[in-house]
Amino acid sequence: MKSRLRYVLLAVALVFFLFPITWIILTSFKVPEEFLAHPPKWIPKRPTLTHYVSVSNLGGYRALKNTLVIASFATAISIALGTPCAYSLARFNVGGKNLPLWFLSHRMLPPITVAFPAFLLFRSLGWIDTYQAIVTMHLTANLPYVIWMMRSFFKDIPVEIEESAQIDGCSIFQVFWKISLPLSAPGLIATAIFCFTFSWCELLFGLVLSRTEVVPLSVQLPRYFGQQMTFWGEIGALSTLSMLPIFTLVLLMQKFLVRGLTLGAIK
Amino acid sequence: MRKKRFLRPWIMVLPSLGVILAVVIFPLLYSLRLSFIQWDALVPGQKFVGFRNFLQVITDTRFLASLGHTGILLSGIITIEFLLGFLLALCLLEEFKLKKFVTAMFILPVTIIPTVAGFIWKLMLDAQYGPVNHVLSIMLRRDIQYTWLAHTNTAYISLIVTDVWQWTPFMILVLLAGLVALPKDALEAAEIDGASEWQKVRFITLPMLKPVIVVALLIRSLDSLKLFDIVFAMTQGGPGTSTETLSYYIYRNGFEYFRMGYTAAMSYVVLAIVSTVITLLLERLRETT
Repeated sequence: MKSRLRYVLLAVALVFFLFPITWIILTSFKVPEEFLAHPPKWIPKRPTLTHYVSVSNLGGYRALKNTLVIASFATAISIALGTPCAYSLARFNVGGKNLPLWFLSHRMLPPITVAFPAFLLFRSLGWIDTYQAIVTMHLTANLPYVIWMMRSFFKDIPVEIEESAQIDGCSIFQVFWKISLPLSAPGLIATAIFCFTFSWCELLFGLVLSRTEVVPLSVQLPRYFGQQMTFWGEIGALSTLSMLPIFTLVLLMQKFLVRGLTLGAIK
Repeated sequence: MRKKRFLRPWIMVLPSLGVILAVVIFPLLYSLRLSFIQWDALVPGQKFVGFRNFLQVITDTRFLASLGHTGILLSGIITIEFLLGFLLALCLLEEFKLKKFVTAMFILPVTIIPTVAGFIWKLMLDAQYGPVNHVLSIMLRRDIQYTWLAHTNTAYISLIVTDVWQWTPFMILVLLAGLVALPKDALEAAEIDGASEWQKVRFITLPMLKPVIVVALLIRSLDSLKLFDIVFAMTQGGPGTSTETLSYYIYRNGFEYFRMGYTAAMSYVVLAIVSTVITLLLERLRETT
């Protein structure tokens, strides 16, 4: 392709993808007269941090903490349960080719079809508005994901390395723990970051299973939008805070991004 | 010894198997039972009604309309994301100085909470305070205060733009990975034979890239069929019920109208629709294992 045209296209695309992010970050530093101006003011003249303070009285930081707790537990449990399962599927071919695909299929279900009966069941358990209810439902997507991805990472390890360890008298649990797991550490970290990101972004389970105590970011943010008045400053501040951790984490594992997003179909 | 060899691999699988049975299969079975029962917040008591809920679903005009809305959004989303993603992947194929930086910047929208993405665009498109109307005002030289989300057609455009903004980078990355992995000799031979840029893309790159394109389109179709988050954040199904998607209509039945049996039956109808795409995608993934 003609190189000048290429750079023009890329520049336009860059503006399209980055401008909205820049705009919401700038909004978080604007005083109300600026973000409620018509025509809009582009750059805040008197940058302010008030929205980052006021958002705390509106449950913003609590939502941030809740999301962190939910995502951490959902990730840790999925990894702890899913990794040994993935190893067994990869090495011992338990359940043949169909069991791994059976696990994966649950990740693809529309969450609403599970969310509704789960809500009724949790209601009879008295688990509405608890961490354990939301974390449990996050497992429906994260656990199959861990199993599927880690299975493919374990398959990348040459079988000879493990066999020689077994000859040296290691049991299969020892081989898994001392040889295979450390060898697949980069894949494990990437998979964990993906799980964390999915939980961080998840809306539906958080929406139907939380009330006031364990409200995550994705559910808290729409509450600032009202018929009479919209807290755009607070929306800006909380949006900015919600973006930063994931930006950082994902940029750290760029190498695994395509593999992680396509369920290993494209490496 | 042999018994041990057989047992240990299963011991590693069982906890996960148990969790999936408990958190997915059990709720789905419970919901299957509900789908044959009339249980409504407005009507006291529960009673077995056979397939009546299902009959009601497939004759419910609002359900059929939500199926149509989902179809419109899905086709708009995957067409634009594919075309734009392919074009930009081609732009990123050759080396240049800032390539790493540019690619990293393209990733950012994918990492944003979809609800947040919805609100970002709600602000972008705001009638009075939004930069989109402002830029249009400057270009058209008159004051534009258009309420994008209050009109059906532009509400669709807004939802599609938001999804395209967030997920085109996914297309770019996936197609780029596919392009990089293509063997170079066919393209070089075409070059020697004097093929044009367009001919090379049409007759060599696209056919060779087909497996990657199919996987990418299936993944995006599956996500679009479940579209909920940005609808919830931006239009709430409005104006009226004109942007209600399948997931959103189910949500309303279950959590706003409290029609338990009906919601369960509808979930199963949607599950059947989505399963077709899931099966296609699983077949592709089976080949890669």
